[in-house]
Amino acid sequence: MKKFVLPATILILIFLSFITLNPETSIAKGIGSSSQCVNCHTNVSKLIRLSWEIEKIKPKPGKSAETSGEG
Amino acid sequence: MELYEKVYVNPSFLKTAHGEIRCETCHNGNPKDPDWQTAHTGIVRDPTFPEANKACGECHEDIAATATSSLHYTLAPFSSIIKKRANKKDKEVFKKVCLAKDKHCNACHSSCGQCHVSRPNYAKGGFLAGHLFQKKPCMDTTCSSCHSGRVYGEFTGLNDGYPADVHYEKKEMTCMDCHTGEEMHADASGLSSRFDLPERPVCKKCHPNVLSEKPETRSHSIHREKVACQVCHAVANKNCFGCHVGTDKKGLPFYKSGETKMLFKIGLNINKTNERPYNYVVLRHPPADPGLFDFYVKNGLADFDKLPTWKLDTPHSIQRITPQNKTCNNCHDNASLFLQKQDVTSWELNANAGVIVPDNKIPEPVKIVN
Repeated sequence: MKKFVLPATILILIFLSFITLNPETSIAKGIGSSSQCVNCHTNVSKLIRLSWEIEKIKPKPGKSAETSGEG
Repeated sequence: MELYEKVYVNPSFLKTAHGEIRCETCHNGNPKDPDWQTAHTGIVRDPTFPEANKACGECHEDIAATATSSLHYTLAPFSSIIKKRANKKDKEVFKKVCLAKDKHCNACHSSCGQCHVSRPNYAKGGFLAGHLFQKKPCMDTTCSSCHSGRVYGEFTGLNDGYPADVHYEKKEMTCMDCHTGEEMHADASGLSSRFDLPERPVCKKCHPNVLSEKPETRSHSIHREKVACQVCHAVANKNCFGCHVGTDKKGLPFYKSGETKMLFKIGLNINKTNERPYNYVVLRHPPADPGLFDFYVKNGLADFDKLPTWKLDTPHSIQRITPQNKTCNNCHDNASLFLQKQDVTSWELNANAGVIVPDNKIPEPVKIVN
């Protein structure tokens, strides 16, 4: 019985390493991935700097000055 | 909201079930590109509109299947009402009316994402809580974004001199306590009125005795099935008059609406159903106007008279005691409560012929016997 324990443990460890390290598996897809989206969108100071850049390139469309009354 | 606040993702979102899905799976773009401008090429801001199946349907199959044909997605009655009033004889005119409708009226829709993740596009977007999904969105940020003009103000008491709805004031109820997810996600294909949605809220769900065979109060047994609940239990609602839309020199769409008035008008029920058998209902004047699309096409709403401009309404200003139900004769023989010819402009008379209450249909005074 004991002679099966070691190979089984090794197999389980290999499987768990594959699951954890493979970038295509769901566990790695979350926070751990090196996503530029996550890096920027969770960083307030980066977002503030970028929003200044965006406002220079693309001013807010705003609302027509001709609108009047309650919508 | 500042731009950075609108797109800030709370790191705790990444620990949720939705946070385990890669950003680009729903939003496209290139997550490996360090240049934010090229990384955003092909980005999809709201992956749940107009199709919800790709983003939501894999896990929420049943909801996504009907949500895309719900009232909030399609605004189906808007199209139906405008088509009924439109000039259908002239195809070119009709086409221009449809384009104007798409530009101005259809901008008001919502989607899965615009309720559960961000504010609606109509309110210029922005995450509700750092991209954390909200099963029941907060009515003060989500519902009020689009419904603040009339219903939200009535419900929360924002109209000077008029109390908040008793459900809000005394029971601290929110929109979602009556307007359930079942209603929000229900298929509304082909509906010509939101009041015909089978999943809509009904008073008897929480007040079953009132409409039972033997109600506890005498007034309920007398008026049951004759008058809608709101006729006795609502106070004034906000009525809007005249709306014209157009495009300014910068290409921005605009609207110009006329005056708004707090009024309470009872009218005849022209669409009696098993669920709504009442003779009398409360009416509201929406900003309907025959010249609505004049900027784009003249005589676009040639069949304007096909529908009344005083429409069935369920004001969200419910009170147990109201000016009209304090005594029998506060309502009976009180012509000022009822929509009459003199309340309607001359060009609206034909459209409202069915809902105007003639003198012989104003309830007679009640003789009080001591």
